[in-house]
Amino acid sequence: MRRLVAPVLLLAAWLALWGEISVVNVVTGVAAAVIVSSFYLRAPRGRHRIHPIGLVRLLAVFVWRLVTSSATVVRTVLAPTPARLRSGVIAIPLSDPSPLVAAIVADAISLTPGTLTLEVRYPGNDDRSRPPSLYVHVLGLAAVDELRDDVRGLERLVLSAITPDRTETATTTEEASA
Amino acid sequence: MSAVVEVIAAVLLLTGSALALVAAVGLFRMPDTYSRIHVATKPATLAVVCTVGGAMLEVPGLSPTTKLLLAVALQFWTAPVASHMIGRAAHAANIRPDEPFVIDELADVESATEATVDDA
Amino acid sequence: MTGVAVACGVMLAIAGVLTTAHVLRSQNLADRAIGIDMLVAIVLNGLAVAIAVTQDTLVAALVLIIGLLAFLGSVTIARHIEERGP
Repeated sequence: MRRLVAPVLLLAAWLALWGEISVVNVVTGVAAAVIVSSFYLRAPRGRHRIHPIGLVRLLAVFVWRLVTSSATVVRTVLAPTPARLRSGVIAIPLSDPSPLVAAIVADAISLTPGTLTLEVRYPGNDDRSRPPSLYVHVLGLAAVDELRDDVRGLERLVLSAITPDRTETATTTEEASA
Repeated sequence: MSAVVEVIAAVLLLTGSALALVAAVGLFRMPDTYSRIHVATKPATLAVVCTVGGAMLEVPGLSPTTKLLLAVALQFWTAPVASHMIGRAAHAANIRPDEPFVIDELADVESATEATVDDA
Repeated sequence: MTGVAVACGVMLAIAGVLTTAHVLRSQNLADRAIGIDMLVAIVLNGLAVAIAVTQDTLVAALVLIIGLLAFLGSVTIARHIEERGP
């Protein structure tokens, strides 16, 4: 059942591109989705469980952060003289080793006002079983600990939406606070 | 086309264009590469989302609406990744900020992995 | 709607000129990459305004394609900077 998610999404995108649902479109869409899936989407990188409500909440947080970051930029640019903001690059260790979760958290950080993910590194010699660290560039380096708490909150939010399948994690029941 | 939808579409179009202008002005206001990434990419993404959203409201018919919806989703999804890639490349290529970084923990990691002297 | 179109057009034109000036005066490749990404975003904005004003939906696919190609271009420039310097 899980293997059908990607081809179905591809079919939906194909139909959206053509703009109408007709027999020809559906048939060619199925063919295209099957061909692409069999060539490119072979080995899934570990299993994740998806919670739809968490996903919707995550999307809302993304949109909200984009809007507030644009508002902050407008204020910064239109101010008579933008204050000389000292910037820095800080390391934020995550708590889950999954690369998909790290990627989504990094994406959310890049949409947040004043922060941009520069790098994601696994500790030691690219040891994938331990959680990675995000290296984040911050404009206006004021409260580093606040930033780390914010990122950890983000990570909890992402984990409530997409949970890696490991028997020892109990994060599915955790309440996420954005 | 009802008047309310027209007004909302017009507001969206104007907001998007204004955001693009703010982003372009920001390119000149900011002193160094990293802050320009912040200022240029985030409002530009929201600008495209707003403008294409306004166009979606204005245009009748399903076919262009789904295409524009795909375009919005694509832009929203890929723009932060593109800005991240440029920032990552800039730091890896040792592009220096206007005033030196207060903390630069990434440089320590990079120099540790490359075994070169880094004076961040 | 024509008033809206004129206002949007003026704002986007100024934004385009500013961004082009930034690309021309920038010192390193990363700055120029940001400027080019911005230019493409301005083009996308312009296309969307044109679609809304002229109700001509033939270019709707263009918005999608240009967005995709711009992303590819940005990532390619970034990889190039990483490997060969700014």
